[in-house]
Amino acid sequence: MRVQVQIDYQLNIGTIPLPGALPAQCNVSHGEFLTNTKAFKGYKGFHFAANSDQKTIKADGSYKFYPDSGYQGFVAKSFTDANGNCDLTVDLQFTGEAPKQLFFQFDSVDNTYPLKMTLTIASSSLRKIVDVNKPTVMVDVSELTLVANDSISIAFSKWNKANYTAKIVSMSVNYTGIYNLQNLIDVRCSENAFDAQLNIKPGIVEQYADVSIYDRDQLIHQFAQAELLKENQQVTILSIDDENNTSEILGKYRVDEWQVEATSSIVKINCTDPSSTFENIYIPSAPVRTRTVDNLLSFLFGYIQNYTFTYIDSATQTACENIKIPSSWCLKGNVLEVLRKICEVGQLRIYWFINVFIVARCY
Amino acid sequence: MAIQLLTPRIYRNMKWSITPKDMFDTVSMSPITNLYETESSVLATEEITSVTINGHTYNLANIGSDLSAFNNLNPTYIRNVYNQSVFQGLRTWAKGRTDILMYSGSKLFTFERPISSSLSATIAVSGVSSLVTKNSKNFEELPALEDLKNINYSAADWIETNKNSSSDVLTREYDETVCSNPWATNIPDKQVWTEWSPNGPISSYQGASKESWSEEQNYPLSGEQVEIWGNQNQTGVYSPIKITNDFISLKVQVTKLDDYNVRVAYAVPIRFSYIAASQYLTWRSFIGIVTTTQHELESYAFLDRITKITIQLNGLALDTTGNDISYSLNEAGTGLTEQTINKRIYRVEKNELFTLNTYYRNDTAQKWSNKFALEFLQKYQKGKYLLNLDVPAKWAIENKIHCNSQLKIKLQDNTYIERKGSHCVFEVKTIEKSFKNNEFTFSLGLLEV
Repeated sequence: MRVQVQIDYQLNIGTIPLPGALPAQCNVSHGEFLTNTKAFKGYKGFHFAANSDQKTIKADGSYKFYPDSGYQGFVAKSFTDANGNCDLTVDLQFTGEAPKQLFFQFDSVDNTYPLKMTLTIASSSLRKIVDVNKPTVMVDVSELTLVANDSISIAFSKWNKANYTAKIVSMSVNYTGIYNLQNLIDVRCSENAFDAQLNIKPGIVEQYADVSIYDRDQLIHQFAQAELLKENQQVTILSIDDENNTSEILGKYRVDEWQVEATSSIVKINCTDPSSTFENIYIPSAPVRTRTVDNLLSFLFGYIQNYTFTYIDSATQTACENIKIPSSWCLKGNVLEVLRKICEVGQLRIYWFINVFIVARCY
Repeated sequence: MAIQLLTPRIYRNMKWSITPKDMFDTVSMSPITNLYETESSVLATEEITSVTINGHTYNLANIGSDLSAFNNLNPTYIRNVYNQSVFQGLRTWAKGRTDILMYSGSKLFTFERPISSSLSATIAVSGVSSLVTKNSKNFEELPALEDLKNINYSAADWIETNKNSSSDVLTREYDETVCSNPWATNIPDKQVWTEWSPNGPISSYQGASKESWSEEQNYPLSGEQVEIWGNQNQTGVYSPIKITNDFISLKVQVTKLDDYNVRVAYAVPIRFSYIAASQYLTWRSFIGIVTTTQHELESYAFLDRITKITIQLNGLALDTTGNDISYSLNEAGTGLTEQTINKRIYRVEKNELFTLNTYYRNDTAQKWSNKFALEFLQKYQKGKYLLNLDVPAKWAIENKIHCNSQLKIKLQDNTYIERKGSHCVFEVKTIEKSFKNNEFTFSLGLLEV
């Protein structure tokens, strides 16, 4: 059992359709036999090397496994040659606004990546050559003056391994950082319905998550330099059970603070939950009428976009539906203040878990 | 000591601690009354000292001196333009007019607390009366004209509170005594006072005016036939009309927009002017001719100006008084007494959503405050056990441990943590999930159910 942290950098400023020449997902052991590989105990294999004829498998220990669900990524139909050359070119057509950054993820498990990428802009014929030395690359294309609906042709001509299957795990303008055992130093996160002292007290419980990451490829540092690290970027923490090939979300949080020091490869992230934004949501005074606590919660969450609430159990729901306030009203204010008052009336605790606010009784 | 959790998989030798916690014997709360009071009171007061007309803002205190803004209604420059044939002879002739400047506006009153529908507004005005004489720029200066000695006039500040209620329109009547005076015809038609509406936009209203010509010997003018007025025995002519507050007609209308907003529309004559001019003419230029000669006359004017409008909104205020209540369990532990037994008090904060009449289910007699207090005290009379323990994440995940998960704790000697002979059931209230040095742990905070 291990932990995985995913950080959505929320840089989605365009879309990249899948290149037609390459399969988006394939189960392969050889570039020419994309669909023939058989599963074994829930896994399929991926052979990265070949004999000189590049068609037969060579038992050189380079066989890699991936889940039965398939290899996620793009695979070249031919191997790199003895010098690492490969005829792999991808045309990216953007829809709408052109991106400022492109993110490429190659095979970090096998440490395979192209040594050189040549980008050519369709609208201006401008070219940019990028030297690559790691399996994750961010390419700044802002100086290439892309226009709306522009396209880029990217040639991955030279790779770091000969007689290998050239693969691109993902190409995107929306990079999600995935951090596993080799990156994670410390992870701590909460799922709290009460405060740490377990006091009987109505109100909202703010969740936390503190993550320390070893920024091995310095990508987060690059993001920091490019001012791409923001508050409110989403952090998902998962538990991964490699034995059973299952995963479970432990929590989803929002970055409250990035701690990235130029002199250290360790990045610390302090996270919280969306309730911290409630203070900025203004609600007007409620008109006078008879309301239940359930009505009040619905009234309030009507002003909170993107977030909903649910009851922890049916007993809590029934209680909230049964508490009736004749001529109820409330002072105008921010959501946080009014939510606290509703909690007082119903003696409720409200806490965030994964993607919803959960309403529970505090006694 | 080891514990066992009664779950599909049992772990031993976990770190754990248990402490008693939260023993309460009294619930203290302060639900608000949240009913409208039975007697009306002043909810808000607004004083208006400036108005906006045609995009310009005028200070009411200065509006009398800023006559140029209102059609050059300046009594010191009243001129006679006469172009009709008249008979020969000595003539004392005069011209007079009255004007009214109406102002209608509205004021939005916004309240933090809801207001009832029983609303009314009163409007009060205060102002100043003054006299304007020809070539005098000082409105407050009384002229030392002998002609004016009989005028019942004094320049003074005055305060009048003409109160209207609700949407009723109070149209103050003319002073019948004055109006019955045959000389007193030169006032605006009563319609001038009544035709404006407080519902209209903020605007000025120039009232109708009348002009009169007098002729000494009642010879009719060949042109427009009008009533004659004035004292023809003196060189000056004046009307006995004293513009008093009786002529001030105020309108106010209250519209409740919602539970928090009320619009009060009002209409007020912010200036009333009466102007008279006269000349005693000798035999001359009017003999059998048509003339367009302009003659500047002796003239003067009374000005009544409102300098402040006060709107007062009255209604039933919401009673948000808190009602301090303390509940404790009775001796049998089956009901409540309204007293504090000792100092182990659980306090419920006062807020506008928790009212004295908040009830449970559909039985309005079953007060939520009572139900909650009884339920809470019965649960916490003896306090609760608080349990902290660490479990492997794998176990917690496989057993779907989340907030509200219930656990029993079995001790190493196969006994359970008990209360009153029953196995204690604990509910997960907090979980801290930590992963460090390949150690993946859930720290649980549990509270006895």
